[in-house]
Amino acid sequence: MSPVDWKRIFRLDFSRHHLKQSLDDELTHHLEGRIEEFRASGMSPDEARLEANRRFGDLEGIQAECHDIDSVHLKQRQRREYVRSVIGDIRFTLRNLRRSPAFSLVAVLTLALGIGGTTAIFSIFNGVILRPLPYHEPDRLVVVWESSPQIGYPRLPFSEPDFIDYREQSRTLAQVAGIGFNSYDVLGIGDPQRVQGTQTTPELFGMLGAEPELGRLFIAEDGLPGAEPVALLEYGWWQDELDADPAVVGTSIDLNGRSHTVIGVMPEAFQFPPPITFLGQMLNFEPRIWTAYVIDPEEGVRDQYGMFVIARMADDVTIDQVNVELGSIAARLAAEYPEEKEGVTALVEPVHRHSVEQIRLALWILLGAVAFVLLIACVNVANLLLARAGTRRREIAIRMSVGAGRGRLVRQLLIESMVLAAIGGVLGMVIAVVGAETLTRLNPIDLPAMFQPQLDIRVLVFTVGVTLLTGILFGLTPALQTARSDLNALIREGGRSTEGPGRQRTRQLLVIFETAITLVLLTATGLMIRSFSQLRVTDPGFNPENVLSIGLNLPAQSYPDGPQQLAFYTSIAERFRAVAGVEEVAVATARPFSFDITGNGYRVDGEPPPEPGTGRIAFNRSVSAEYLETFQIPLHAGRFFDETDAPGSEPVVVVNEAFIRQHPGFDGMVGRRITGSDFNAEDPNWLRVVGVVADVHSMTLEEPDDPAVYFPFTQAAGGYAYLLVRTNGDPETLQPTLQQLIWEVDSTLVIDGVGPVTADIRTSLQESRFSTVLFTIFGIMALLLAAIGLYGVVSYSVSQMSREIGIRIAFGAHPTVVLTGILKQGLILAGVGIGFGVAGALATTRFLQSFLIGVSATDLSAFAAAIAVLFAATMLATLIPARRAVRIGYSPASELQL
Amino acid sequence: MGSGNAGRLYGTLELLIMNTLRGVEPMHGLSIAREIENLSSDVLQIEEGALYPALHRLVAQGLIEGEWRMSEKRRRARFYILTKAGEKALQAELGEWLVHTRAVLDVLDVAAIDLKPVGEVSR
Repeated sequence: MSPVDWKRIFRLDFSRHHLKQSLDDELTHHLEGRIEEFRASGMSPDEARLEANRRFGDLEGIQAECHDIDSVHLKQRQRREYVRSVIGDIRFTLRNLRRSPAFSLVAVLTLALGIGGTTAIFSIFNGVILRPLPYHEPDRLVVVWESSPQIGYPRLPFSEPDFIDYREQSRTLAQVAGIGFNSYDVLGIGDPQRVQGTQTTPELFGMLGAEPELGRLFIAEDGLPGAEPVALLEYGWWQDELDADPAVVGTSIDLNGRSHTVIGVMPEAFQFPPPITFLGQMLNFEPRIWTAYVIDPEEGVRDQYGMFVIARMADDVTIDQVNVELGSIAARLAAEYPEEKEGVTALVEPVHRHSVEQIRLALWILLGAVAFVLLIACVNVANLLLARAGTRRREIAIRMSVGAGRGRLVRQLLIESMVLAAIGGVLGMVIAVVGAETLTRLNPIDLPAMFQPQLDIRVLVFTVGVTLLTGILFGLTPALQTARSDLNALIREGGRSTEGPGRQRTRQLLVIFETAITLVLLTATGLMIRSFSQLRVTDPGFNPENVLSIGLNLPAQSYPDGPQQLAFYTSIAERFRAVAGVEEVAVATARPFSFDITGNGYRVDGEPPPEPGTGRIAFNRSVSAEYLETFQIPLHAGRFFDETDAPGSEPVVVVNEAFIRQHPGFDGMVGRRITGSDFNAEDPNWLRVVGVVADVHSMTLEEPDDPAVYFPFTQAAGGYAYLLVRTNGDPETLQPTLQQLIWEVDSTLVIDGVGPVTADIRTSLQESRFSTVLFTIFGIMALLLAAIGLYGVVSYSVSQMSREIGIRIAFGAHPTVVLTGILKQGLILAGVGIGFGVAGALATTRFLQSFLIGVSATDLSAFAAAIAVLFAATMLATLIPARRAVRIGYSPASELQL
Repeated sequence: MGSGNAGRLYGTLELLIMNTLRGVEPMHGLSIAREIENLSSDVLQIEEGALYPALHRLVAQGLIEGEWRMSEKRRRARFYILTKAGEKALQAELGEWLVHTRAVLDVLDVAAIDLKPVGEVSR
């Protein structure tokens, strides 16, 4: 007989105990059989037994061996069975989902939104904070600052002599490099253009572990005074301008009038510097060129701070150890140069932490916000599942009655959740990837360069983790509910699909929960919106409308000093004024939102000399007389500059209100003398204050102005200056005309940075705008989801009660009463949710405080607005099913059909 | 000992067991032992206990299957049959064994061996 497929009859559920028992039986059978044989052939019972045992062998050993084989086999089979049953469950789930497309679609989309949004934010988080800097052992790199807290500057760049000393004396810092940021007029590469560049001492590249793509890097000799100037090109620039021509190495280019030899090209992957913050601003800088920082030990001024320093810590050294050593070097220097160095110390910070410090908190908050959205999504899906579980009670009851264990059912429900989560997760990832690509490509909301999403393996792992967590989160509630179902009750109920009060209660609680979270999120959104709009309308202290700024850098050969520079700018300004549409023209070496900052310590005549190291710093701005009118800055006292302030006359200055606050104790500043130099000299350079102007936001809209001293351009001209043109229409339309005028005077001039001042102000709002927009998006998503959630619950209870409603109305109850009843239910749910939400918001919005400008974290109008919006949405969500109920009311017969 | 394919070691015992089960009614361990004895005219005397680890191993490998039934003696016993996989494996293994044996015989030049009667085989 051919072998039959016995698998059907074969029941594979041996337990361990069974195994042993069966084995015993089998072996016993064999032995007894043999014994009988021997007895039949004439042996005595005892002899037979002995012979049988002898022929059999080591009974115990054989039992043990067989048992081992069986146990291993059993485990294998059990594992295989388990996997097979899980796969079966997954297939069953997929079939089920296909049979209820509406439910599946809603659930999957909800999840996709939640997971996708979270992944998108995380990818930004990943790109900004988690991604290590592209250098060799980046966590050993530190930024080194000088520090003088007494004068209000806990972080200062280095002065050149200090740099030399620290570099030489530090043992804890293995390599120390100094960098400076510059703009260069470039002749010899493409059209004459102005680019940003970095000066660096030769240690930098070795410290970062960088190798050149072509040519060589800087060596120590390149940094010595009198060395041949050399330059390195940035990869992208080299590709664009020179078509990646390798012959560029060895050629000469002209940088700011000096000839430099190109010694190499940096690789594409090389990215330096990472963003550095200074004075609260991020210096977003993309150098096209690197030049050698030449330090002349003879020439440095010890208290002129301008050099940024990056270093690599020695092996096995901690940051604290470095700080301690730097402190002792600082003390030595203070002892040697008490005037300049008293009270000045130095400190280090890890490069990476430092560069992302400002946005770290912002990103965490954004992540929190989107996590809220995800939570709400989970609640919604959980509610959907609970509703669905209600209609599947019969199926569950049948399955339980044919032996499916409770555990098995719970497992099946969890698998269902996991499958939903998985589909939602994949869809969400797609949304996130597409969204991220679109965002970076189009940049519709003016995304700051820092916030580049980075999609890599970490994001994938994160998404998978979030998906799993999500699945468990929303799957647990329905699964547990089912596990607790009473089997008998289920079977007795038969086909009626009324819901037990317990299930409905759970759904209501969940809706209250998600309403509360939504309110918290909406409140945060409201606060952000208020703060941002406040920021946007913050009076900058001047009128930036219709002012065009044109930056020029006069090359030193043609315009070697003050008189030539002044002559040039004066003549250009005259020409500009002749153009139709130009109302006023000013010249200035610094303008608001330009980040050109130079400063000095100043002393007022009559003030005691400051303690060494505690000079009061104010920023220097050299501006022409028309500056005030061009920017319409209010004059508070005295006068502004005029034609009496000529190169030969008494040096005058105008100060701002912040300066006055910085030097208290004087009754009026006009007429007094101040000096910015030589605190202890016998006859310092006195400057006469002739006026006081209002403070102006010069760097950000968030922060007020620093103390400033305005110099007349006629007395303090410079080669690098801005032409500020107030026009009576759109300033950009005059741009070509004005540029042409400049080139008519000198066609070799490179014009750098043309644009309306309002554009710069707008740029400064980038980060705020970004956060606000994201919050708004999240708020809207949350609102929608919460409204849908509430709608679901109310709608379901309406359909549950439809029969009851029909009866009531048939018996004379007025439909309005029914409507009110349902509205009341929705109201209570929403109300309780909002109540908890307000409490939650009060507790959590304090974490936003650092981002809120001019708005308190408990701002009433934001709270009120959030409550109103949410209330309106929830009322709408309740009204729709309520109206349905009323329609039942007008035709109760349809519901009474039995 | 023959070497099997895919790393499975088929001892001669396993081979004999599978072959015994081929194309017949299900048999329990004792019957299998008796059958092997009979067919080999008692030349092959196996330690009977060794049969059972072999049987269980074959079950674990999916080459035979066992089922509990009542034996002719009205006792509970485990009856074995050859599975489809077992059939295939047996074919393959037998084929190989035969090839191998023929080769050995060729080398030894059977005709030249003086076959003594059973019982006097010298080692």
